[in-house]
Amino acid sequence: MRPFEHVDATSVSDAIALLKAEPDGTIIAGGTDLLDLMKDGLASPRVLINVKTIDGLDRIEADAAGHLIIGPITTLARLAEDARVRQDFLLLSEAISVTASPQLRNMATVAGNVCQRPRCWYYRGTFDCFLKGGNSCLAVGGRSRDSGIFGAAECAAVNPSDLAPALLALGASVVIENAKRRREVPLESFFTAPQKDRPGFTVLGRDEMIVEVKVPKQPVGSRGIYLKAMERKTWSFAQASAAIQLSRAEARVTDVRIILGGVAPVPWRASAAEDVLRGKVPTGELIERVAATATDGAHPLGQNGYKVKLAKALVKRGLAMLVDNSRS
Amino acid sequence: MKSHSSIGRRVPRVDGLQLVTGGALYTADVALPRMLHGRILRSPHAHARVLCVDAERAKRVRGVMAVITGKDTAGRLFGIFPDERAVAVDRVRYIGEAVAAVAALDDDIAEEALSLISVEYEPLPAVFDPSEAMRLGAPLVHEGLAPIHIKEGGESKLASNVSFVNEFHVGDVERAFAEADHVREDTFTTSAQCHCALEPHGAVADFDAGGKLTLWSSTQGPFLLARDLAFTLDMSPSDIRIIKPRVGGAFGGKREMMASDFCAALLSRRAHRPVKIIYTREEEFMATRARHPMTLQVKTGVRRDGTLVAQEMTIIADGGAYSSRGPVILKYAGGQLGSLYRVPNIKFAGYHVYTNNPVSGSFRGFGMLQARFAIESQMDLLAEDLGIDPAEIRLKNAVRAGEVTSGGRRVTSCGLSECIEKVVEASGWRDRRVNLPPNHGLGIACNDYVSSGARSQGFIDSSAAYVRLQDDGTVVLFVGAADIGQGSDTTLCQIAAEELGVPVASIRIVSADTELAPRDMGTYASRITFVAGNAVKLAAADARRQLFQVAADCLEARPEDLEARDGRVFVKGSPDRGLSFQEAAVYVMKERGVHVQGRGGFAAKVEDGDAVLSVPPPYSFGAQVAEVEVDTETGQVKVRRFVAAHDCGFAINPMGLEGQVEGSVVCGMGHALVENRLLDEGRVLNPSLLDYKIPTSLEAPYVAASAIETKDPEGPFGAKGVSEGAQVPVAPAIANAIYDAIGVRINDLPITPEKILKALHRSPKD
Repeated sequence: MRPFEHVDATSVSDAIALLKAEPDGTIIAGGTDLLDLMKDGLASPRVLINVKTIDGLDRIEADAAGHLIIGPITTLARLAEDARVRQDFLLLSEAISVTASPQLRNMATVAGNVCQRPRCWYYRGTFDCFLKGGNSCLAVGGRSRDSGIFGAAECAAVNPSDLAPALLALGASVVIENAKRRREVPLESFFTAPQKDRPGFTVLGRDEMIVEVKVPKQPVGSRGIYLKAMERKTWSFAQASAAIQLSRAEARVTDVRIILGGVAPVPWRASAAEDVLRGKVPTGELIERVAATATDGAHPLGQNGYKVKLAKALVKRGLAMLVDNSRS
Repeated sequence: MKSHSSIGRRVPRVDGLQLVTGGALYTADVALPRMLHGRILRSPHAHARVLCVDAERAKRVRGVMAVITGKDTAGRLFGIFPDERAVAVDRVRYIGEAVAAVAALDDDIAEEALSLISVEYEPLPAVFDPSEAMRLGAPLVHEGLAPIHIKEGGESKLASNVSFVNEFHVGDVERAFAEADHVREDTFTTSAQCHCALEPHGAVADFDAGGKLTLWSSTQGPFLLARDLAFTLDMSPSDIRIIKPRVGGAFGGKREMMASDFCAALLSRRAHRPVKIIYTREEEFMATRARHPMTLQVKTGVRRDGTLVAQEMTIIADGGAYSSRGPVILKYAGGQLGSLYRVPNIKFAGYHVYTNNPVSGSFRGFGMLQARFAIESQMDLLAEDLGIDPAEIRLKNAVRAGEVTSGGRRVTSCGLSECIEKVVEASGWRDRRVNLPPNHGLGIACNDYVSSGARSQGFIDSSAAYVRLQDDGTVVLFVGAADIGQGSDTTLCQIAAEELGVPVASIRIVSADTELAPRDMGTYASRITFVAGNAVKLAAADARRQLFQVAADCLEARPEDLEARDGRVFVKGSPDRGLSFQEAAVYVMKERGVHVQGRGGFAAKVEDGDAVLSVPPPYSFGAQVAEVEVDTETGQVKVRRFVAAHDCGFAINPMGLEGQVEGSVVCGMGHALVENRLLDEGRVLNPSLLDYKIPTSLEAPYVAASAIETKDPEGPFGAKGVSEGAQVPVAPAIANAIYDAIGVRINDLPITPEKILKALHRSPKD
């Protein structure tokens, strides 16, 4: 591991200035992903810019319009336990409750979780992986059990986050700052699939910092659910997951967002499935159709065909539970 | 019959308080003055010639005190099938094989120095699949190994890379198959399960100025480790003292000398300072041992009424790059034919194959587990073919005490039928099997196991013990047996306490120290309770006899009229005419100058040469019922409950037995459902506890374990081994329960959601 310097930032602008001044610098908050990357030689920053020393970066509050504002270094544990979140954005708490382990949730932060790197074993291990300059994705013709079934053109790794699909299902955005400007990016366009000419997994520039995560107020009666299939009940990334947020007026679905996790390089929005449901009364038969559509366009590799079945099962089960719940 | 004071009781572990308060000393806790930290450089190639190792730059790093490469070693091949070097010399055969090691002031310096050692390799063709390795013309993992004749489908053919063949037959299987009412043949495969002991391998070595070595090591067998170390370091075993601190789990994975032991020792000799090497979790997965992946073909003939008439098994085992204990493991796997159910005609062919994968080795269950997965899965298939209840077909064929099995085992005690009846009753088998909700299922499986080992490195299986009476009436017990977390220190103290008539609390145990304690073969083959237990019982009886000899004078009685119980020595029938142990001890030492020092030794009986597997009795037996629930949409299996009954002869400590069964169920459940070390051209893809998943407390089912006590005539107080056997039926019980739940049979471990979903959704055209 490369020796590094650890610098405490005093403010957001100080942190951004440090980032700009030190091309080999990187922000550290929880460090739960970064330290592993450093030990495995996948990241070798010269300077770690500690942002835990900046006041107010761990706030959870509502703005005037009722949108939820989450500070970037809010820990997953705190976010999940927040009363406002449990009341109006339960989907977030649900997603966090099945993320990693209690110890990790106490350390890991919201922005760090959203920016975490893929867990693909060809990437994390000592392999000549595409993301590390290799010629092609080794998972495609290799051990693809954990790989993506969507968008695996050049790299079949999946976005491993549980929180990101949940945030996406709620229509969240991130606010990003650099020395010159502040911009708000919908999460939907924040994630990028790694490509040969454009490595990286998000649109975040190297001199930029996420300063808040914004979750819009949900319509009255809107409900969410997060279902995750994993190899064991804890400390396990998703084989597949589904984050669903459903709004209804009378019996009709006014809006729905269905985001699949663990199946694509980005949290995967099942738009076609949403379209099947939107404006309709969700009957059992319709839910079956929505679930069947959720994996439209999937191209499983040699060993991950089961993810198609898993994703469909989770969407079906999640919708059925949401519809059932709101009935009672 | 007299009741027992110290055995048959739920005695807390003698090391329990230390373990739960963090006070216990493990190898990693050993810290010596001037101690250095060692790290090992490992091969990145699955198969390569080592042309040159240049460590000059590493040696110049400030803080580096010693560097060793293969050239600095005696280069000796060690192991019971000597084919492996502690540090590679001219060739590496798997990714992770040791090629050099560094000792430095701290780990970071050592790590930096490793990166400066330049090794010139000439990569060689490698082979990773055992069936490919067997093809003539495949790359040879060990150069010069000649092709060997094997049998395939009744025909003999030549195969490469086969390091060991074990073939035998009893009776005439062909004729029996021809005469059977029904014959079926199935193929099963098992995965590479890793031990995942929470404490990794490690050692601290300290050479003194006189050239004598003291080594603290996380090991299952200090005495055999001393032999391997002495041989590879070219020194006398008597110049080596091995001390086993507390061990945080081993499960078979700490039986052999590891590069950590050897390199710590050689680096210490070079640096003239103590050296500590503790493996990382990654090294645990890539450079230790794992359970042999096996392909098992089983063909069985039955009569219409379910009577087994013939069974033939062929096994191909992926041994990885070296033999380790593989050939013995294969032999034990073959020994499962006819061991549990009466089968008059049996035939076995086992092939141990070299590949360029990491090395396979001992693991709780020792080949018997893989064989039993295949046989017990097939028993259910046969039962279904014949329309017989799975429990009934097992009862019908169960071996019984007094029989000699077709493999030549003398069954001195056997509670198999009682075990089956017990789990059938306790699980509500008969009613619940038909009344369970959809997608719930029950599955049964059985096991037998040994209580001692065959000869190892030429040595008959034996143990010894000393018992010393202190002048305060307490007792020190010296045994070579290694407590690796299973609790043998406690069991042995209980046996000594019972035999001597003192409370367990009066006994202090010194175990697994090659200089202080008598020799022992080590912890494997579920042998400690039976073999070491018998030695301890004899030593305690000897001490008691010596004590009575002298105390009799003080009590004005004859020695044979004395009795010892609950810490007192007294005249039989007159409890008032007696002394406390303290008084007795003071009397013998102070007044008579006598030192009470009991000695005991025990050797397992060597069976006739024609036995298929020359492991002497007694044998333990067991039966388990698994209850599972399968989610047919996600393929997830939930193990709800396990009911287990194990014939351990006599439960010295019922709590210890329950602990063994609970641990076995969880480990076996991991093997059945999730655990699998995955390789890509010999490189481990999941070398961490995040990516290689073992079950957690959240998955652990409720386990109801009970002891069936058959009091073996040769066991100490009737006790037999029970530890390893308890894992053997777990995977087949789960596989059988899954079939019962959803009608899907998976013959390929682990039974993942992926396989279940595939099987459930298999369209007719597939």
